[in-house]
Amino acid sequence: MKPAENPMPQNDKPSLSDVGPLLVVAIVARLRAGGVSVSTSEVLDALSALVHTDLTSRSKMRAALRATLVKDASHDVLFRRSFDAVLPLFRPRPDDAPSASTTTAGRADDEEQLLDSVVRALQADEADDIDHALDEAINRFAGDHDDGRSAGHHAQRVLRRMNVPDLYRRYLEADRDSTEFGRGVGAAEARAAIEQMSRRLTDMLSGRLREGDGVAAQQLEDLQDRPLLRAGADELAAMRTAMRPLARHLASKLGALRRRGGSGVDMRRTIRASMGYGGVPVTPVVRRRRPSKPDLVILCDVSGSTAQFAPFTLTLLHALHEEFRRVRSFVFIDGIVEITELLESSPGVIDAHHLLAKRGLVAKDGRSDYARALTTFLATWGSAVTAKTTVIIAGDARSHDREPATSLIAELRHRARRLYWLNPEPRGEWDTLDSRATEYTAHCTGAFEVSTIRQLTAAVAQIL
Amino acid sequence: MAFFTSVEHARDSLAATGYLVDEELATVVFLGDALGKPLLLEGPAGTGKTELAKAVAAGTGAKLVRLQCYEGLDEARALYEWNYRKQLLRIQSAQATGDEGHAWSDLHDDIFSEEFLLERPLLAAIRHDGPLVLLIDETDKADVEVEGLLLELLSDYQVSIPELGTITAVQRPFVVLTSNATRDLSEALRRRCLHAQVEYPDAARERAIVRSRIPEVSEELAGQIVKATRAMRALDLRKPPSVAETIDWARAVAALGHHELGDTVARQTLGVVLKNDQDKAKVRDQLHLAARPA
Repeated sequence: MKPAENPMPQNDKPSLSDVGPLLVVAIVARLRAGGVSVSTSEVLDALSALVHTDLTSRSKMRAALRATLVKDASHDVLFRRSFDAVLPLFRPRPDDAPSASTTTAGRADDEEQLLDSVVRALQADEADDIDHALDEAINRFAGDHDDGRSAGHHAQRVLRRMNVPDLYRRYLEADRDSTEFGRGVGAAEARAAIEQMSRRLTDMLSGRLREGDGVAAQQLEDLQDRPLLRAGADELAAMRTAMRPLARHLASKLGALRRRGGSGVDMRRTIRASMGYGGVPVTPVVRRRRPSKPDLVILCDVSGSTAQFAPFTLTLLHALHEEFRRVRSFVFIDGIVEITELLESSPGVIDAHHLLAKRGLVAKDGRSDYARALTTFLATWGSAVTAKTTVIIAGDARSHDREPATSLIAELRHRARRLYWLNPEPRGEWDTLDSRATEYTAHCTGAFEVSTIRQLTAAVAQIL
Repeated sequence: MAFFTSVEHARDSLAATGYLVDEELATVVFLGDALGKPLLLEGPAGTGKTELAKAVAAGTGAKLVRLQCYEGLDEARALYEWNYRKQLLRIQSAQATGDEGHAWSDLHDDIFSEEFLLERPLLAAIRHDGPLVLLIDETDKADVEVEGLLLELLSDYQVSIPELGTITAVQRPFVVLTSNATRDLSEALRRRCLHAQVEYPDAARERAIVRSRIPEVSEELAGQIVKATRAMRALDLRKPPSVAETIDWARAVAALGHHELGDTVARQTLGVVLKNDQDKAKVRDQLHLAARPA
């Protein structure tokens, strides 16, 4: 369906009113299939926006629909894909016409031209030109899409055949700089451009792969129930997005719970305050219940097996920092480091590799060692755990056949007000092989299985 | 209201104030005006979201009312408040003059009148007669309750004050909300707005911005500076340079009398763009700007 490919003149109202709704509905259907909720009022907004839009300009139409239908930048990729599918980009290239020759020399020339046009588009930083050039590159270099491989796989193949180092060289060649700094800048710019290109390429390929079937919709639907430890990189990114509103929701719910219930007017302080106004009680003082705000200490295992899970726990708990007097976070493998400052300085962008880059995390061989890590913790930061502290340990409780940390966990429980264990493994796998889950959690106030985001939020809500 | 007649008109009147927008953002601004819907601008700090509202006000000659959101902002600070102290004085003076003839009801009507009302930004925006741009800055910093208040205000453009009745906007203001996405705004608020993701401008536009703000900078120098700041933004710094900092840098280099950005000049003026030691170290390292022994 591409009725507006050759848009009617703007004064031709009847045809606009026919085409507009069809167009918008087709795009909205694709957005909804991808898991973006678009309300009816937004559809109406989109239509009234089109009335005010110059329909001969594809980019203006796209901007109008983007502003009215998509309210979250993380849905941009899906929107672009939907828009392109409903209103495909058509651009005649008269200068490319003779290049249809089939000789090998001609083909080599074509590739030469194609790579040049990619580099030119990247240098000009024109999104549409980049898309167009990449589109051609995909047509030329990507083989058959339907072999069941992931978009990432296809993207790698296209990139290989486009010869990235060569692209890089071409990009740099366009302007040679004499100064050291200029060259450094040029190189950084080229790196960023090529990175951006490969991201866009993957987007476009996954768009082509998913075209038509409901894969995207399914994926978004049960994201909350997807096992964290088995998620792929792009799923993790999507889960991170899914998690933000959850954290916010939880924070406001808890906040409301805490704020509720002042218990009436404090007469003594009201009368004291009224003295300033000659005995007129201008500002009644309300007695406030002081909610107990516990200290929170989080200990997160980030060894190979659980590294993916740690950022989620940390992000969620830090989103709730207002509910605590103080939150201190630590990550450990066989060494242990404090990362409170890192989390505070960059909220919401914690990534597993940020955490793993910390020095001191690996003391010996880089396999998790609860006993060693907890001994170090108690020796160095032991004073952080007091009778007011809630301690949360997140990890798979696997000892790798090392000395168990049971006595240390008992010690922690003894010092802290409460101690909880979050285990990212499904309950069925607890106590299998070298897992000491039950032995450890016997000393805890509570233990939760948190293999999905939904379980994680539920566990945190319960702990608080 | 109708500030603008077309997307081009919107773009040109913003450009006249030195604020250069791309077609997408110009379209959103034009539509916000044409449909009478608030704009929600999201994006990294320093991409000119706040400046956009100011530019719209300056470009159309409208009055700008700004509500800066912060944690703990409440109705009394955002909407209106009664001036207790003044009301109290009024009551006392009525007693002092021994004016027993005045009935309580008169006094009551008197102390809940215009004179004792402290107008806060949102009420000021509603009551202003004439073209107006309402900027609600850093909406994500405010508490969730304020969002509820904004929802009510932005759907009907009216406020109910129990003592005075309902006040409806004389003229729909042009509303701009900005957010740095430190927390997600509610779905309901998003639904009511036109959304735009404001990113750093592309290289050509940023060059044009630098040139239009500081005419004495040569095309070449502007190009070098923009290129360098863009490379810095690609480095995953803690505080990537903002557009304003690009302009500052260009101004600094020009003020020092240099015509191009060489190693030495860049090293000397790095503090203008980067305000964080770790960032500086990273840039020196990654962009080969190490201070070598002479």
